Amino acid sequence: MPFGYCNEREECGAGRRLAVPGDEDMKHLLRPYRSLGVVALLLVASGACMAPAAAQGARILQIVEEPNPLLLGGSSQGYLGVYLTDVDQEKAQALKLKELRGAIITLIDHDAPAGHIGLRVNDVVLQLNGQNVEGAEQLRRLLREIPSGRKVSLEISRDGNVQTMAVELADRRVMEHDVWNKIGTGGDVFAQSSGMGILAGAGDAPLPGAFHMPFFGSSLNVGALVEPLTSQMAEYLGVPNGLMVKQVAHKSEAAAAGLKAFDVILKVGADPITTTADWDRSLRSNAGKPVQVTILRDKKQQTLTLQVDSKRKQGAMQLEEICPAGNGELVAEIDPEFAQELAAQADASAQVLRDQLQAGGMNGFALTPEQTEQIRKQAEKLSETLKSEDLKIDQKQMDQLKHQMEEFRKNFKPEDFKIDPKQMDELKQQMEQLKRQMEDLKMQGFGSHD
Amino acid sequence: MRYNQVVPQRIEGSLDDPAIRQLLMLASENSASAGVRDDSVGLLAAECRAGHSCQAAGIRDALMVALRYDKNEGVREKALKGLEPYVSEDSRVRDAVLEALLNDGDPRIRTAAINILEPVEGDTSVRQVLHTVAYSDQNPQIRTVSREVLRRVPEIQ
Repeated sequence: MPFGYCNEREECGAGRRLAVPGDEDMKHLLRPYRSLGVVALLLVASGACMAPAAAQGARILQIVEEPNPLLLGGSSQGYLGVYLTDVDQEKAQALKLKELRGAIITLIDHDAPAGHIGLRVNDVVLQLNGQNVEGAEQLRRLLREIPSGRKVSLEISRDGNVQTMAVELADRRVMEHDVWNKIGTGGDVFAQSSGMGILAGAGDAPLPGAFHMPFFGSSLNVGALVEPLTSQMAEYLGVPNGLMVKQVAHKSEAAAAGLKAFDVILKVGADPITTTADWDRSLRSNAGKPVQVTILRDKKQQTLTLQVDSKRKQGAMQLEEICPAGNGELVAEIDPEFAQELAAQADASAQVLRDQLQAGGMNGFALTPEQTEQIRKQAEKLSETLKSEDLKIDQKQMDQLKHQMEEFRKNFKPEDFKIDPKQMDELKQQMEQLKRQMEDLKMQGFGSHD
Repeated sequence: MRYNQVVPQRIEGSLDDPAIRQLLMLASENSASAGVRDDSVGLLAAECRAGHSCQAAGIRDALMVALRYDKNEGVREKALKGLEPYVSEDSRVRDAVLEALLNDGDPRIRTAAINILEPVEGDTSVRQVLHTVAYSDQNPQIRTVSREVLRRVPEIQ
């Protein structure tokens, strides 16, 4: 199993992505820890179901598996895309209504049918399917009763002029999926969201960029995890730019095409590929077709044929594709001794952070006994996972991690580590926010996974 | 030996003048000087904000290009402000602002983008991006603001 991806015992479950305090302002504060201990603690404190060694992968899995709450509607109730309020005397006059009835549209979802047919704010719905609308609540109720896909007729008043419009109510879930896929830039978010990368520390180490899957970016999931080349890397490789393939999903189109980790994608067809957005666009424009991908491998250019499948999984990428069980070729067992070192390092870093917080008078951040217990349990679980023999990681990432640890050891001097009052205040605020997020998660039913 | 001679010229005119606008749009892509781009985009943005014939073809596109690609934060910020009046009427502008919110490296620009999206905060795409930002942005303040916006958006039907 590649490093960073969930193992079978982890609950890489749906419905969670955690906001890891990783603001750029915090870099100085976090730098000495090179991400392991502090971020691990914060993740655990956040109720994360991830082991530090699996955090990168868990991050990807969060992206893969997190159902956007907006996508959780679950019903086939028709969606028009309006927010409504009642008509009163004053508004009736302003909107030139002849009668004191109807429902005023005060907000439009431009991505929804309401936006598509040109409904506007301050239009007043007078009738729905020939039935008079007396007020907003009545119209809401009527709309709730109409299933998606059904065409309805709306009589509206716009600036005193009455007109009729026909509209087909949407399935909100499908619409939201479509909109989400159109946004098409989410990959870049994660390429830049160094604060989310537990192992990459303050963002100066390579991080997985855009995993092109339906949740973010293109729905044309070819199974390649890519990120733009840094300028230094581009210079080193002797190319102006390109996308580095970080991982290739098992049994994916990318794998079938022969793409491998550390290949650099230079062109799709004749189009140069510089950003993940370019990659997305190319995939979209070549949906359903085979396309020539020019790559750089071992400093030599070659061309691969990638079949971009437009109908491939609309849902999230399947777990086994990114966590191929027992893939002996790609993985190396984690060195148990190193795992123990990691665990010890995480504990030590956490302790230092605790001490620093106490020394800084972080009285505002007080965990309840329940939360403390939860954190303790998860920390134990985390240590166990780190020591687990069945945790396997990718050899290259293992080496990278070791290198980071070495750097950390060299550079970390506890006596030099001081938090200035301003940063302490910021940390306090972040801790407060973390608490609120934990409460939010708890309210949303994302409690302990024990 | 042949060479092309570049002769500097000074042209004066009003911002209403299409030729001046054209020059400003060209200058907004001047890769050599951030100052020139900053001034040009600033002037174009001011035209848009003042509601002076800032139609889709031309200035608006130039501002969207500057917002997306300019390396200088100041230029991007000016472009964003120039696009503000069109966010509710032009879905391409809205999407450009959403992209800035998702991708821009400068937290000031991401914050400004959230504010600019206020007229279209009922849009599914806007709510989805805000939701993403609320959980994934590096900047805690931006996460908080995004959540606040999401909280205040009413249930749309």
